[in-house]
Amino acid sequence: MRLCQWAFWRLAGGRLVLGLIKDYTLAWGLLSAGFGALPAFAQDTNVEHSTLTFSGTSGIVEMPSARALPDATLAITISNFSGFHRNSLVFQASPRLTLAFRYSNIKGYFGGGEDNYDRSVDIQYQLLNEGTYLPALAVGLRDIGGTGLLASEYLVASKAFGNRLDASVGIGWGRLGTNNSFRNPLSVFGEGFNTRDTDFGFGGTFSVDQWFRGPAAIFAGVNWQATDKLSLSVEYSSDDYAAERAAGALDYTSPLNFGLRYKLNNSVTLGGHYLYGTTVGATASIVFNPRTQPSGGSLAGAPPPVLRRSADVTSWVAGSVMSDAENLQLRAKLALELGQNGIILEGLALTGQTARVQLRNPTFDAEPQAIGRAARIMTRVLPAYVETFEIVPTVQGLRTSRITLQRTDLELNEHAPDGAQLAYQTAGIADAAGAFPTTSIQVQPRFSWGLAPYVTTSLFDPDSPIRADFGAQLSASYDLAPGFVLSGAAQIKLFGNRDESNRPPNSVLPNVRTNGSRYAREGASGIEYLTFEHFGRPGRNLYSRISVGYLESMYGGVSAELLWKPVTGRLAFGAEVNYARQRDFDRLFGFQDYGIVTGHASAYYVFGNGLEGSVDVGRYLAGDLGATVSLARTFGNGWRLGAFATKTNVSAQDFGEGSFDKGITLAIPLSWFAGQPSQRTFGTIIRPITRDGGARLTVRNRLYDLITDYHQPELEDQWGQFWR
Amino acid sequence: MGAILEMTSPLLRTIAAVGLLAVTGCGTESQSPTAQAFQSVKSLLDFTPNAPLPGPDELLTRDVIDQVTVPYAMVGIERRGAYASMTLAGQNGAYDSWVTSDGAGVVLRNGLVTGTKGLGADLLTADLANMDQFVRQGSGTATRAHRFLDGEGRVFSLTYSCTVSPAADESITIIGRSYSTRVVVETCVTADNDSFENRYWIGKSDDIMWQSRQWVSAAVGHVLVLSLVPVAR
Repeated sequence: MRLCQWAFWRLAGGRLVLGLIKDYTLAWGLLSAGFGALPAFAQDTNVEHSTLTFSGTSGIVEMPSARALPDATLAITISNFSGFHRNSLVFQASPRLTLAFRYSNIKGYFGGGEDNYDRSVDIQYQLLNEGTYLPALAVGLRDIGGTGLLASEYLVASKAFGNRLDASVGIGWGRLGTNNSFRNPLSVFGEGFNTRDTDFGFGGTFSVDQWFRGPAAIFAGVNWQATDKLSLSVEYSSDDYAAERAAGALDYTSPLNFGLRYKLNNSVTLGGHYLYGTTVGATASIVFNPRTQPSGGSLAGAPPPVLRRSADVTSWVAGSVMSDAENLQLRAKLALELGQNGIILEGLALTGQTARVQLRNPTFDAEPQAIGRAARIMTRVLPAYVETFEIVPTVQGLRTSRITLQRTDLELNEHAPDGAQLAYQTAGIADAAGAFPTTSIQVQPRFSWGLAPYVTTSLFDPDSPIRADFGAQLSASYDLAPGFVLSGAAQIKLFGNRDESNRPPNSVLPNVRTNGSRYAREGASGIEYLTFEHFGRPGRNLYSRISVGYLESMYGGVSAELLWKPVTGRLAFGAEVNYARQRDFDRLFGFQDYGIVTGHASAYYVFGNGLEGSVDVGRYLAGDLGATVSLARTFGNGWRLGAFATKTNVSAQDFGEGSFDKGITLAIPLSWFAGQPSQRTFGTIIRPITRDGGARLTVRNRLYDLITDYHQPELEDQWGQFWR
Repeated sequence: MGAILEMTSPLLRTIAAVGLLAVTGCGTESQSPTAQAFQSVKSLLDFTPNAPLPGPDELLTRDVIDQVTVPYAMVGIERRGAYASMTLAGQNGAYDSWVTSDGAGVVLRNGLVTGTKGLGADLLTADLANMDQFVRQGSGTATRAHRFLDGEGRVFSLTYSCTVSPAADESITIIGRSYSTRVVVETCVTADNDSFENRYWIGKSDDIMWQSRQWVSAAVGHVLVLSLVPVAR
């Protein structure tokens, strides 16, 4: 057991890696400090024109342009002018589709010093790419599904003149149709286009019937790339800020805005702006791309090379008859070498010329890398007569898949230029149910524990948009037998301010989530989870889980799940039934009166090109019935950005602000930052608002996410790392 | 619940981690991301970024090399000035897998780099065609195909047209021993006009490649390979 030892850093005696670590930790450190020093991503023709606006999306100063960011780009922008503070997260979800999530704060918007806090989502879609003569054309919707405060729609065209000048002109509706507005040209299609209803109700609804309605106005502007670092902008804004002027929040004398941006490096840009004839504003943006790793690639140490058998085939017979003692010795040697490479041997069975190993990979985030290393170690340890390797990786005792490799292929392809492709073509990937005589399974280590810092946040409370608790989490798990796990985690809060939140639940539904602040106050330290779990393979393509205990910080009970997922299939179905009882606010052992049977039937599908989706239909924590739709873009390196929405039979009025539950999910693998293999991920769910409708139980170890890394199409996607 | 701060506020996270210095990340379980992230910041503070790293002559002496009886070599990343000694971890056909004292790897075929492991933007494989023979001959033209992993862990390749030609002979010194060598220069260019140059120093009397300077990737640059105890074939 390595106690307080950082296996993470392979510094001992090292000099070559030392030189490298300096570089990537420097990059990391700078990124942490907010000054990303990430390597340049592939230059796209759109890049130099895609300057970021106060809204964080691509445009001029405040007005949008028809420029998309390079595919997969993430841009975080903080902007402020005259009390309008905006934090935006923009994601180029596909080459044509831009998505933005924003949290804004407008000082004095409601008059009398009362501030407005608003969350909004924008979408922009590239209709036409720029041609030799034709401009780029994009259509956009700002603040869809929010409280409608910033709601506007636009159609914009952009055209570059030479390498340095980019001009845009567009027509806007809603907020972007207020300055020098005119009769909606769309009214030729019907009088209805002339009126725009500004009553946005509880927000959160997509007011499709209001889009492109009401008066329209023209906006225009140019960006001039003066030098590689410096760009200048001027625009004619179509937003007249009528509401803010009325509330005394903004002095407005001119629709002309001027901007200056300076690029500090490939990811950080600072901007200074002069707006509406009276006001100075500033922007800061960090731009990076999940596809570009700060370390440039993996810093994982070299794998043990293949040990090629002697060319004399007759010598291979030696060792084909082994005593039990020799068998045990062989197994011990294999376990040792795998262990030195971060892989845990759970079982070995030799039958004829076939060696079947069951192993656990707590180390490598690219699963084929673990399989490739295990295979190479097998060539080094197993007797020469063994020709076929069957590798069965497990997760929580679940046999996820069976990878069959021929030793001769490994010997031939280790250094082949297209070795990764050859290794994939010669590998068999099959279901692993019942793939092993259970008698040869030995689960080690049986006990593990960890003590580490944790952070818990509460977001978007108008009194304090970010609150957080910091503390220490002690976790432990004990494998009673293969697939039987006892585990728990206790949190001790050291400091934080989540207990300052004092908003009593105002929901007419059972308070299944809106009492979160009370848990933060009374159960700042407590038991995060304490469960007994069983994982099993009831049959081919089937996976099961039963969890009993304190399932999550607010609920305990029983959870049972069954998943159907063929190893090579893109489609999976699951069903989960839970009885959940609300825990006491102190997060210790007691329960409250509220209990409910909740559960879902789920369908999962991998569309390809990194797009994944799922639909869950069932009964939610408050007893409401409905469905959740989720979509995510995933990257080969483990990055994942997704969004979900849940609609249940709770009315928008009963749900309260936001009308229905939705949010975005984000997962960033540690290995992407560090360059070292790791299965750890920074993950978060950002909900604009947490209410009681459409709330789900948060059970750990849901099956789909446990096993799919060892299934298709993910294995094929990552197979390039087999020889790494 | 969420850990948004883990992304948006590294400062706060670092403060949290500092507060937990005494207890950070102990145990048998894999490190928490917070603990590991903290560690990467901590290691940043552990040494000065621009401290010069020891060169070949500071790492090893000829006395030590003379006592080594197994294949032994040294590799350096030119741009970083970082050197490490290497031993032979395995041979498969014409390919030699070397592993450095700090666990990185270099694969050589007849002295030519066909792969690196753990340098960051590694060379996954190189299809040398007959370049290793042309280098020995001192002339020839071949097409190299180099494969890499992109930021998502997927394979991509670059194809180079390469020409080998002799340069003026040189006398070189490697950790206290001099060699009289002929010098072979290989220039490679892609269809997009990306180019690199490799240089090989081959002993005139023994035909052993004692030293080479070879291209790995745009992010890593050149590696220097010094042969200390050559592989006997």
